[in-house]
Parts: sequence; C-alpha cells; structure tokens
Amino acid sequence: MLNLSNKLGLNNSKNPQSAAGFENLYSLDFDGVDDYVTIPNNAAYTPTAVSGWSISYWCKVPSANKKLIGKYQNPNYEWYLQSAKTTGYQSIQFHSGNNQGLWQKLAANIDIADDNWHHVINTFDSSNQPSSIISYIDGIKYSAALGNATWTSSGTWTGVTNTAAPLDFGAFSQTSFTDCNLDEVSIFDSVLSDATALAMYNSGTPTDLTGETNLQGWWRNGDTAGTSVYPTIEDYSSNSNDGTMTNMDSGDIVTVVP
Amino acid sequence: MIYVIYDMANISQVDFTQVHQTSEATLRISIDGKKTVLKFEGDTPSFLVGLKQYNHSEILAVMNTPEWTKKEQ
Repeated sequence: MLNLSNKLGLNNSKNPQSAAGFENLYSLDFDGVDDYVTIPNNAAYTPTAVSGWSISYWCKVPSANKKLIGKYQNPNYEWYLQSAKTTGYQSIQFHSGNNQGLWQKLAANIDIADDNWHHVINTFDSSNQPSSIISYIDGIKYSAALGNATWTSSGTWTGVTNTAAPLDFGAFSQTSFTDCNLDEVSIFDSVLSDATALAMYNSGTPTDLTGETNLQGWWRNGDTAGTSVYPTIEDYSSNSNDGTMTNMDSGDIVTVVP
Repeated sequence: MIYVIYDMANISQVDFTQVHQTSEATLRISIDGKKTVLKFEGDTPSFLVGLKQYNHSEILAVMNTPEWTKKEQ
C-alpha cells in the first residue's frame, strides 16, 4: 500500500526530500544521440521473485518507437520498456533464460509518444500467460484480460535470468538512444495493486515513496539538489545503488517535470 | 549544443575535457565502426575546427539513418 506520509528517510540512507518537504523539481533530459544513465547490476532489478516485480516511471517522449529503460545489453537479455513500436503502443518485453529469442510482451493500446508527461507502471508476476504482465498508464489499467492491451510471446518460457547487464535509462543496450525526459523511476520486488497504481499516479503529480515496502530502487533524476548532483543519480531506496550520467552534463538536469 | 561527426581513426586527438562525452569507452559508434559523434558548447575545440556542425534536430535525423541505427528487431 502506498504510503503518502512524510517519513523522512526512515528506510533510506539518503533523504529524498528537500527542506520544503517532498517536491519534484527536476527530471533528466536525454538527447537521443548518446545520453544515458547507467546503474550497476542488482538482482533486485531482475523479475525472478515469486512475489512479483514492478517498475514505475514518468516519461515525456516526443516521438514513437523508442526504448526508454532497460536491463538489456548484448549478450545479456532481461527486459526493456518501449514508448511505442510502429503503431504507437507502450510496451514492456521480458526475456527468458538470457535468450534473445525467448520473450513475452504486453503492448498497451495507448500512444504515450505525444511529448506530454505520462506515468507508467508495469507489473510482472513472472509466469508465462496473458495475465502475467499488467500496465497502468496515467492511472488506467491495461491488460490482455481487459482487451485494451495485447500479450504476445515467443518460445518456451523458463523465467528471467539475472545477468551482468546494467540498468540503463535513455538507452537500449547502450547502442541506441532515446530523445526523452525521464523522472522518478522506481522498482519494486512485488506486484503493485490497482489501488497503489492509482495512488502513485496521483492525478499527475509524483508521490513520496519514502518508507515503501518492497522498494528496491528509486532514482529521482536530479532531486533533491538539482545540477549539483551531476554526474550522480542517487538511489533513494535502501539499496543506495546510484546511477551515473554518461555523455551528459549538468545542464541535462532540467526543471521540466510532471 | 553543437554536434560533430568525427572519424574514429583520429580519436587519439580528442580532448575529452572539451567535449560532453564522458570517455572514449562511452562513445556512440556508427554501425561500421568508423565514425563517432561528439558534442560541445561554446567555442569550437581546435580538433573539431573545419568539421560540419549539426544542431540537435539535425543530428537526430543523422542518428536515425541506417549508418547509425540498426533496423528494429
């Protein structure tokens, strides 16, 4: 259950709040040429747990067919998020057994590549069936069962394998790059509920995740200190697994926020 | 920001303190491995003088060509 109260870093090694309390003042601006943030591998970013897995992020994407976030670096294949694929759908694709040819994917019937901010949550229960992946975009649920998303798969599913691949923002396999803004990225080792997804959307305003159970990563992408944090993107979860801005400069920490 | 396409054969001449790329190891390389892209602000670094300069939208168009981006899987 989402905790919207101010717990001031009870479970965190860093304080995700400014002196004014929780506020979201910054995001990262990726140029789509070679900008990316890379975060060292952590098994918590691999959806292998029986209890499930979720990722939440805010994005502002001006053009379709772009991969936003991923733990996927040739020859290590785990998962990646895409703003759209030809038809303009938001999708997430998981790979099985570190095999590029074995995968399952959910594509939600919504185009988020409209240069407006959107909140996206993708949840995964680690099984192989049409209901294994659920997406929430701007608080609305998308699933194969609801008929507003399409689930597809390839090959025999055995499960996602943790690999050495880093977690990257703004890049795919560190070889293709996306022109976008990303903000407030968080990973949970549980399947977030409908109610939590709606609470995290919060009518379009990011919420304080301090003290959330199952929180395995929370990168605020510039908050709370703005450009002075460059080149470090702090992880405000208890893992403290910071990211590094690569081929970027402090000017890529911008005050364009949801 | 100003972008320049640069020949990898001359990469030893790049002073990474004068461009926004982190290091040689993090450069974006063309599909054939022969070119990279560098970016800077303000005065043109001496090792980039004389090369064609691109703005953001122009370099994005270049990066979306088959020379720089593999066809979607």
